[in-house]
Amino acid sequence: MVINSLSFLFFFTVLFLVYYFPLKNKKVSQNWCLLIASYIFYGITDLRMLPIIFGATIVFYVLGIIINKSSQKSASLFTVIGVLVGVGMLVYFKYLNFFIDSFETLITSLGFNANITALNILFPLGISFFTFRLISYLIEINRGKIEPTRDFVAFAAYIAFFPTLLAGPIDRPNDFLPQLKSARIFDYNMAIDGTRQILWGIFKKMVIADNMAIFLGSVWGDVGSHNATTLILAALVYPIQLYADFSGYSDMAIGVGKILGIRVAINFRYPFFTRNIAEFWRSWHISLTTWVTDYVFMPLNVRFRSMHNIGLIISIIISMVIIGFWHGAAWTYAIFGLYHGLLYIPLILSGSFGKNKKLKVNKFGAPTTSDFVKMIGTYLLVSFGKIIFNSQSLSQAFEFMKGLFNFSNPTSFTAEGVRILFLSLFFTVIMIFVEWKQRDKEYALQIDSLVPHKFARFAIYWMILVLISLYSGKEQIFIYMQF
Amino acid sequence: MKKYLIEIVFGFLLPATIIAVVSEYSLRKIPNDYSFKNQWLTQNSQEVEVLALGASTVLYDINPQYLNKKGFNAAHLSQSLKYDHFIFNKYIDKMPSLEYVILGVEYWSPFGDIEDSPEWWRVKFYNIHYGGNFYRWEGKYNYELYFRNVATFKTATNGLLTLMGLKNETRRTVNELGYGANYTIENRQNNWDNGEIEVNRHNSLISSALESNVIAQNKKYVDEIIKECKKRNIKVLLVNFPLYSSYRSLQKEEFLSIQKDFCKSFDEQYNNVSFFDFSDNDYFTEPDFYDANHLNEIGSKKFTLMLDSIINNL
Repeated sequence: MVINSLSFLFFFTVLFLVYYFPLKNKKVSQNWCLLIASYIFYGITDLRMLPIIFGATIVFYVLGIIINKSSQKSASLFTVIGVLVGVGMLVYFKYLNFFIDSFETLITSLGFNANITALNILFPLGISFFTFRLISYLIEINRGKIEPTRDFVAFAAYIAFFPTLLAGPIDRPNDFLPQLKSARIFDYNMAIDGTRQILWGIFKKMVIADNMAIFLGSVWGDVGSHNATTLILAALVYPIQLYADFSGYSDMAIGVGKILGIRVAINFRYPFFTRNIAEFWRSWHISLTTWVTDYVFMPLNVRFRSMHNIGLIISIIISMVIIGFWHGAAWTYAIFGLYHGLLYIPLILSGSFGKNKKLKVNKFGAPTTSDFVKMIGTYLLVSFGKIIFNSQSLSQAFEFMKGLFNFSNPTSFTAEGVRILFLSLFFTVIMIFVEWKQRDKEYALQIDSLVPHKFARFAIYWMILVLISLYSGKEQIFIYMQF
Repeated sequence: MKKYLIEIVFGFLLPATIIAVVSEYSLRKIPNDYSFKNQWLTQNSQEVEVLALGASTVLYDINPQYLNKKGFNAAHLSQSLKYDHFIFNKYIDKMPSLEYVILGVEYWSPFGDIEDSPEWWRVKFYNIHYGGNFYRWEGKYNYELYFRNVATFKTATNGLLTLMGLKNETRRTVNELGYGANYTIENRQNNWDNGEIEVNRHNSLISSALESNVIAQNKKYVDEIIKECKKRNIKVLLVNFPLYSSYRSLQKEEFLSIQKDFCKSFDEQYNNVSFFDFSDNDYFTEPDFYDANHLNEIGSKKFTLMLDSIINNL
């Protein structure tokens, strides 16, 4: 069941009515309701995944209590055990076959005969997201930032919270668990805000990302048969598709959370309006980058502090490689992370790393020339990195890069394909314009101050609904669900 | 809570649902070939003596008005044998006068399954207009509105105006006896000889189906139709239709032999079956064709009269 489907609308309507009517003001029952709904949501996709998430939840719940009760030294030991269990789960379910495959390639390249068969392992959807939640729970307890919860249902509901289970954001226990400690009372403003955010998310996903997917799918499906013009266009368009797809999902998840009275972590902050790679990563997949910053970068930075800039560079590169590798079991993701880590070096050496200057605008409300050039530069660097990210293998990435200079290949697209691409680019321009105007808001459709009249706002919502109805592309799976 | 529900339900969900329901209803009510044939068969099936089933060649090549017996053309574009079987089963009990079934078995028919072809979207017509039950839970096979754009809503508006008697929107292209009347010599394009394109399209469809069990499935459908006809003393004519040389010359021998064997096997197995192959018939020349694999009104008259004489002599 995907979040932008009619079946989800039906599922959510039933949950909403149960959650706010018979269970009104009943904290425990509301948490049970969330947990059952989340497990139904997860189980519908593949029932075999339920024991995995349930088992992991029990283990980490117990470990949390043990860590809290243990001495400092034992607590650290149990935390390490917990982290290893979490990482072990990821390694087993997500990376084992990749390691086996890489090992086999290495052995073969050394001239030995290796015949290792890949294992048939179930890939539990959302494992990268819920494992990071589980790990952060133990670390935060060990750091003394939170008390372990004794309420197993609330904990399980946090780990499996259905809107964010399959593709994030990765909520932190410090922010999420306290919200389950009291009954959720319906909040009109929050619900309206959430509904509107869902609408904006659906627009980005279905009108922009799904339409672009047709063009990008055909290019990446057969890189060798396209010429430089097409490949350049595909490379430039892909970050927009990824953003519209993933931020669209995040908006929907956050919106659903708001309707249920739960604030979910923010995941994007207008990443295309950033002027360097550090700013970009502070605005893109924020819940992952802050997770890696807190649990990987900061400890590494402390450890390498004596090495000054070199230590900082090492910490950043390791963190970025982990971010890259988090996406999947392929060298392309590791190289993608390394590439971004390397892009930080000029910032660190020039002393601009960590500086957060406000965007300047000219008298027309547009960015200043200097900021605009930097934004374009950042976008181009990101687009180049996404070539590696979106390639099936390093050889495909190289083929793509080589193709960027090959103007001889003819490229044939149907008139319909070109029409859909230009349609999605037209809506992209609208999205970017609205997001620029609304860049100080949580999401672009928060238009209460921009359009004070309620009926005018309703007209805008209807217009977006009509656009979704008329121009939504062929349904595509959310890209981040595969991670 | 009340305010929120009122705004969401009355401001969005209800109007959106009403628009969707009215649009879907209006689109379904626009007359088309499927709704017409279903309605015709529902009302007149007891009179039918000759029933023609198949895809576009049957639709455009057999004009029942030239048959001596009361005939009806129940073919549709790209209709694969599974759907011939469906229509046959739906009406056979209501056809006490039926004496002959003409079943078009084209070059691609033994390998054809509309659901796996680019024409899969036609499945919804069998569900909506013939009351079929194919993939009941999949929206794309059941709703007109599943794929929509500005034109869809424009059509829906015209459909609504038609229902109100203010317009006369129709998608029907067949005549009163189900014959596809729009493939006329007058409508024929200058570049009508599309044999190479068409046969390549069919060759690629056949190639992709070779590995599947679709041939066995189709054999089963034809077998069931024939057995049912045998029980009712109905004769079955398996027919290969006239093809223009540009199409014929690029047919692949291996595919052709499977197709011919497919038809011959029934001819040999059942005494109520006769196989007639007109694909290489010199009697049909350029002025008879609308395109490389369909006849125009002149050709279809010649062809139907030819079939009529065969029926009378069987």
